[in-house]
Amino acid sequence: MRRMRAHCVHGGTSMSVEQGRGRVGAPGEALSWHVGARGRARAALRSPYFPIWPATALLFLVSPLIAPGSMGTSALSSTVPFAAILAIASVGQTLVIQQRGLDLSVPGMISLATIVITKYPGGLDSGLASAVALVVGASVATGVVNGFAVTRLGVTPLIATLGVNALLLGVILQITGGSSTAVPAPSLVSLAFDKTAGIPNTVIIAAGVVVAVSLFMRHTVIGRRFVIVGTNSPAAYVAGIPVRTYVWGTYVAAALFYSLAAVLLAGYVGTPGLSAGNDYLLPSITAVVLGGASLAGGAGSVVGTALGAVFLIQLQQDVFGAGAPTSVQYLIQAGVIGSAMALRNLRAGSDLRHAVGRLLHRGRLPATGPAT
Amino acid sequence: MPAPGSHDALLCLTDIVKTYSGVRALSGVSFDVRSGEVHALLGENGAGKSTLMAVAAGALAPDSGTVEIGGRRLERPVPSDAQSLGLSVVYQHPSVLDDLTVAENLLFALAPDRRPAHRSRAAWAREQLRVVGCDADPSARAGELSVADRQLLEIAKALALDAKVLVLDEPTESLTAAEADRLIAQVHAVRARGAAVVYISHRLPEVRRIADRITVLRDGSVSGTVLADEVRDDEILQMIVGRPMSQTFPEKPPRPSEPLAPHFVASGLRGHRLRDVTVDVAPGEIVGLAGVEGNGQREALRALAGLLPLRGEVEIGGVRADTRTPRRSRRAGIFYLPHDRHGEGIFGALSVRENLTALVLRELARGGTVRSRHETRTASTQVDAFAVKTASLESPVSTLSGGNQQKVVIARTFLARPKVLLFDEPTRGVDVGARMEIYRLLRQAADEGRSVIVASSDAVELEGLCDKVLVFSRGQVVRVLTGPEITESNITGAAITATVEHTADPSDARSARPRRRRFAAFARSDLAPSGVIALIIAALAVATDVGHPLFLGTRDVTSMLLLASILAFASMGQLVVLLGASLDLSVGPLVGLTVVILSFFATPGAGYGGLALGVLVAGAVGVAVGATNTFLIRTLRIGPVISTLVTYIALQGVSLLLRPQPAGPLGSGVTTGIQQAFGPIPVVFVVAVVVALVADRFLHRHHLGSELRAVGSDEVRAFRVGARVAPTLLAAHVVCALLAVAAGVVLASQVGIGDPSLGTDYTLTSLAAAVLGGASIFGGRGSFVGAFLGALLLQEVINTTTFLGLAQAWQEYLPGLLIVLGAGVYSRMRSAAVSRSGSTT
Repeated sequence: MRRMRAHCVHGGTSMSVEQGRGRVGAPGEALSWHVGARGRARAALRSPYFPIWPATALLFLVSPLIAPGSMGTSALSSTVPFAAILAIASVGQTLVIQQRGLDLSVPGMISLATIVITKYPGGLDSGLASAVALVVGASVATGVVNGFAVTRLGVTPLIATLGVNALLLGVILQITGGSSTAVPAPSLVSLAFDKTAGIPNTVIIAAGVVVAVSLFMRHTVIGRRFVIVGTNSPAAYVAGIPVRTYVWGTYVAAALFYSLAAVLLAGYVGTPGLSAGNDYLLPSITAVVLGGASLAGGAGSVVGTALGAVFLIQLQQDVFGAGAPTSVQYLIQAGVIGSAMALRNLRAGSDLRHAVGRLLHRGRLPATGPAT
Repeated sequence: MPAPGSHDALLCLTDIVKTYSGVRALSGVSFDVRSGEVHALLGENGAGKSTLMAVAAGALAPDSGTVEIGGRRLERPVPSDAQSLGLSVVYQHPSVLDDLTVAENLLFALAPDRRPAHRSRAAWAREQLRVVGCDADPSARAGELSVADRQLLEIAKALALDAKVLVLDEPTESLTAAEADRLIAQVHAVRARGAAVVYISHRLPEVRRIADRITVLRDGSVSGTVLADEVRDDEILQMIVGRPMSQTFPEKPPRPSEPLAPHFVASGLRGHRLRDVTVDVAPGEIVGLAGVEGNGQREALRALAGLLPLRGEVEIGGVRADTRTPRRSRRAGIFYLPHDRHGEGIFGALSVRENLTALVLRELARGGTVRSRHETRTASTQVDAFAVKTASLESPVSTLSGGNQQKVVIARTFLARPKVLLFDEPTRGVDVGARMEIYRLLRQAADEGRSVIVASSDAVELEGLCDKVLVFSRGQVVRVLTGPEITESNITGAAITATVEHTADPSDARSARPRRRRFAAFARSDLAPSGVIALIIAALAVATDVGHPLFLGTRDVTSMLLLASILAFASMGQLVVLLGASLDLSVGPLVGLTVVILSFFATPGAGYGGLALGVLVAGAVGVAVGATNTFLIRTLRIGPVISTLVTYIALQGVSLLLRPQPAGPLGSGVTTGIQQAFGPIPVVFVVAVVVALVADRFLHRHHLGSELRAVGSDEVRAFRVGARVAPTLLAAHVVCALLAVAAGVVLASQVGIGDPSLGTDYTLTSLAAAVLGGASIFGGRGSFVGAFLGALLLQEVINTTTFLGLAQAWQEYLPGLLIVLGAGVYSRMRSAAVSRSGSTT
């Protein structure tokens, strides 16, 4: 049995399936722990969060070939902050997706936060603290409304956040009257532009967020319960975990991350206008998906998501750097996301033959695959 | 008695053998039913009744043996083949399509050419229902029927097929006495027509009333076939029980001479399926809840666990316990171990360690942080103590065998120091070796002074394990067995001879006054949102007109209606896929791409010929987009959101590729042509109205419409009743794309130039309009008129806010509020309807 398993390493059978089979055949067999250690390494390679690592590494390796300037210091220093900001926003999206949601209020929240943080201080550092407080208040309120609609009104997250996004756009029109030329306070600008020990602050903050969230999820009681609720909320409910409170908290935390991203964005771009957040909805979802999370919810990795964000921005940079127009940019993005998803599903859902089988026998079997 | 296989038998199973992973479920069973006969099939849970009938219905392939229906052999194990040979099964859990009407569910049973014309359908359906004694409204949504009516509907479906062989699997389990009487009368009528009936039941009194012959299965073989009026109850019972005890059980403690004061007392329990139940557990006791499945045992456990509402007193060690929520039950020391291990027990994707410590994270933590080493040590101790076989502590728990998963659940619960253990089917899906250990652990828990209550459908298990057994029937305890009385025979005997009747639930919606009922039915229908939205639209228009008498009948109205029709086409497209429980984000970019395409063909010189060519090309692109979306969703199994996000991005790319900058003015003759109006009403608006009306009619009158809603309602059930799932979804995505193209044509006339940046907004707005119009993104529900009106309202809000003197912000506030509140109200109504129908699954 064990030898067979060792042979299976290259056989493409997933670790879990294989173990399950071994068990059925030999229920009494005790597995020794060293097999487990190797199994863990193999499981890590098979993890859905793994492929984004080599993919990102490969992208950076070929970048100089595609677009010679794209790895230069000036090119990097102009793209890296955007990647960092997208990564922070995508961390919020990851949390929502982990709880089987999808957050469409990203653009509204980011736009609103950029406006609040630039408008109220009036370009002066003195007003910055109260503006930050206001942003935090707005984020908590947004999260609470989202959570209320989802947990109390029973509205699907997709629709609830779509409605809340409209409400946020309303607030934006209300407080700006339809135009905004406000500029960020100087210390916000320097926060976004400066480097500490040679590393851009935005990167430090993004890395801090990712590491903190990752550790939080793994080691704190609240984080662990959050993961438990996301994995199987009916079981969590049976186990006595207040599921609704966690879902509620998810939307609040997510809104806070969008706002953090927005504050850095405002500092970085200067005059953010009214719709700075529009560019963050689809990319935030894409980054989560590239990072290996499934839209069916449950699992997710903020580290994977952050890499997904880096990958997406670098891909953009490469295509631009190669002199290709936006149109090609879009087509390449679509191709990359589509093939990444297709490959992952083929990996997870056995193999290509099944896909071909489905194609040939359309309608014979209802597909029961993961709704990603 | 004729030998099995005799020629007047309409169903004849010969020497059926079926093995599941080494376990013999059926070892050479022969069974036949003759024309004009009711043949009852009895046996304990797991005796092989369902397996045998699944083989007969073609749902399972036997290892060996033959199935003959109506004298013809079933060559392939395919349900539709068995059906066309004349066999029809009514399952205990009806496979009714909830979002379809009662009449549509009935129609699905018939081959398309046998379906009655639309006009006579209601009468036809009413007749079919009358036959089974069901007075449900044929136009009611099946999901809103009571459990009993759903059961009757299933039977009516089987009868409408004119089945030669009718298999009824515990048909009266959820019926009241009066309903069961009606059903039994119907079975008599079917028999009189010459059909053969297989009647699976656990209730002897009922079997006595109905059956001509009785076959008893035990452990996968026939333990006897007898004529019903030549056999006594106790003889049948003898045939049912007597399964060898294949298990060794931990020794029971001697019964104390004086009964001990109970440690756990739950008295006067009333609730869902519970009628005045009392359970008490003395120290050291294991109490079993027995009975045929679905008679309140599970509900008693779930109610005590805080998962179901409960009235009654619960005391632990003399202290009252609060069981209003799972959390409060847990605080009181009550822990529930569910029967549905995958759904409610384990956290499948998480590791063994994470599962083991899930309930005690707080105890393992210091300052809110789980102490990692402490946790690992605790988990590893539990793995050893409970002999959990796992590759490592970090293996996902889903990779463990069923028995080891169950041990993880037990180990996890023991770690939390429970006072009361409620164990629902402790050994379901558990291998023999692990079973023994689980029994030992339960006995150990009882010895430690915890109150252990076990619900099980396995009487042998209860006999071996329990110190006291309560036998349930229809929500009541019909017998309490203690000490030497606890035998399989007594348990099964009490369960199958109980004569308790269901009584009608006073909270049943059907007993409500008829007028309110009719209003409630309207409120829950797909039309209600349309009515409400139409009212809001009218009110808004009147309010605007009062303030600005010039509003109605002016150019403002014309341009508003023109814009509304663009959105209406897009949202009707979105609705088509929503009905099929899919989603299309690429609607917006496709609207934009259509504008770009037209800018190449409908050029100033090209006239209407150019327009026609452009529309044709855009239409072809639409078909390709719909097919691509379906390919990504169905074949590559990338979910609808990501699939259509991919096409969304790609279509934007194509638009920009064709027109990097806005260019290519459209011929003004063509654009004014598209924008032509009757007075203030644009022609395209009228077209949109007509499309909405026709599409709604099609949706409800044409078979393809109900097929689409069936697929969206429940793909698996739809497949089972013969809907063509994949072609239906392909058609839905293509139609959606074509409607997006229609929206693009109107938008092109509005902007007059090939602008690549347009259209994307229509993605989310179309979704909002469809949902506002009552569509459910879970599929199966919605109306085109609703989507149309939703679009009109969203556009009206944008156009009238300024007239009404509202700040511009209200252009966003109003839609936002409408979406959130509207979706909230719809969701409430639907869940209310579902809970009224009493379905618990």
